[in-house]
Amino acid sequence: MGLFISKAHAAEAGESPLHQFEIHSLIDISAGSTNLSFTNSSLWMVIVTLAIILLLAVGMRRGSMVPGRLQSIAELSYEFVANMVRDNAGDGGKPYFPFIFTLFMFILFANMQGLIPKTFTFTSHIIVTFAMAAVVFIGVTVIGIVKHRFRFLTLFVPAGLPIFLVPLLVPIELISYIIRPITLSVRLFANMMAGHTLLVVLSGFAVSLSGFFVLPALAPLAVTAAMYGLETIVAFLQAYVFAVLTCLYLHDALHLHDH
Amino acid sequence: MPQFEQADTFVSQLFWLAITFGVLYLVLRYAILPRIADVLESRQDRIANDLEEAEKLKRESEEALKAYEEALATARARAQEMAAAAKAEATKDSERRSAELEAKLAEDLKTADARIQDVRAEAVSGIRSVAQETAQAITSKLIGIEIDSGTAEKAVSGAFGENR
Repeated sequence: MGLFISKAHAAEAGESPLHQFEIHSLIDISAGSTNLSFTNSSLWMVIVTLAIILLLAVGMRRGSMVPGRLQSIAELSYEFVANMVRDNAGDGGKPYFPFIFTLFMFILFANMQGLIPKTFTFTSHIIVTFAMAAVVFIGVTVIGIVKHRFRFLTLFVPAGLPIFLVPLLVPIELISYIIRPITLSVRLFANMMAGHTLLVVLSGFAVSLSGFFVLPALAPLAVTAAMYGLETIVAFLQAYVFAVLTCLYLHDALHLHDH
Repeated sequence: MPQFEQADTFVSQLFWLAITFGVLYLVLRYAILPRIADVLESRQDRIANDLEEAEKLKRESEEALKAYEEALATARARAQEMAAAAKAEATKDSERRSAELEAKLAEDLKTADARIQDVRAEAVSGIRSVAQETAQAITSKLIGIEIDSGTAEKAVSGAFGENR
């Protein structure tokens, strides 16, 4: 409820529902002319990092044969991502497991933490999601080229393609490959941003309506509560999608078209 | 949209993203993930070992059960054998005893028979001498003729012989 009220207050105060995405500096830092300030976004990146390390470290501190609650969480997340990598990236995906695990946990915690009132969702910023997608894209491409050299180019030629279709399909394949970092980053950013904007708009509606009619204000409140549940699912799902797609791209780079 | 308007914060966001993500990656990669893998692996090993151990114990107990059943069967067979032997022995013994008893009884019967014969013969000879003496006495008393014992004996035996 706190979130509804606090975000709604912002809406009521005549602020845009996009106000929640604004970045403001907490500690001004600059190197030469570049601005490296520690912002609210940076703060939540640090908190997310510490939260993941703390959860896993505390969970695994005893490493007992019969896991407790926290240890179960740590082990479950490990096995969840390990299975994801095994199923989607196939053979040879194992060395990249730590990166994909980090990626999944980082995005998952960022998305989930964003649903807590008064926090900041740094995955709702395109520059952040694009940076992660770009790292995935460049990394996967480099892995593919190092592993297959020139044969990597066959990735853009579907198997059994009639020769006269090559001029048509190769550019399509090429574009669909190059567009990957954009789709990957926009999917996460847009989902986060749309969800949070909708939550603020709906809860703001509930608050401003309650000034006149208390009972009818319950309707947008109920919708907001339902949206909150949906957003929790989206938060998990988007982290999952990002990690799975990374695995699939990795699979392409490792195995090209042959399975 | 602040995401595009605040382009002056892009470098700062990327900078802090790189630091936090990098730190998280290094900590997970070198400290936490190996630990989780170790725990999972040792648990896997432990479970496999325990299963193996259980399998071994099960096999052993099955063997023990088989050995026990075998021992039981042997013991039962031996017990039956012994019982049969004892029964045969007892039968033989009792047969022997009853045979002995019968033999003894037959002997006793024979002895008794002989004695009866003796006694009877004695009695008969006793009667004869009494009859002879009585005949001598009667004849002397009645007719005053003294008869010798030989004559009396002959008469008595004649009378006995007629009676028979």
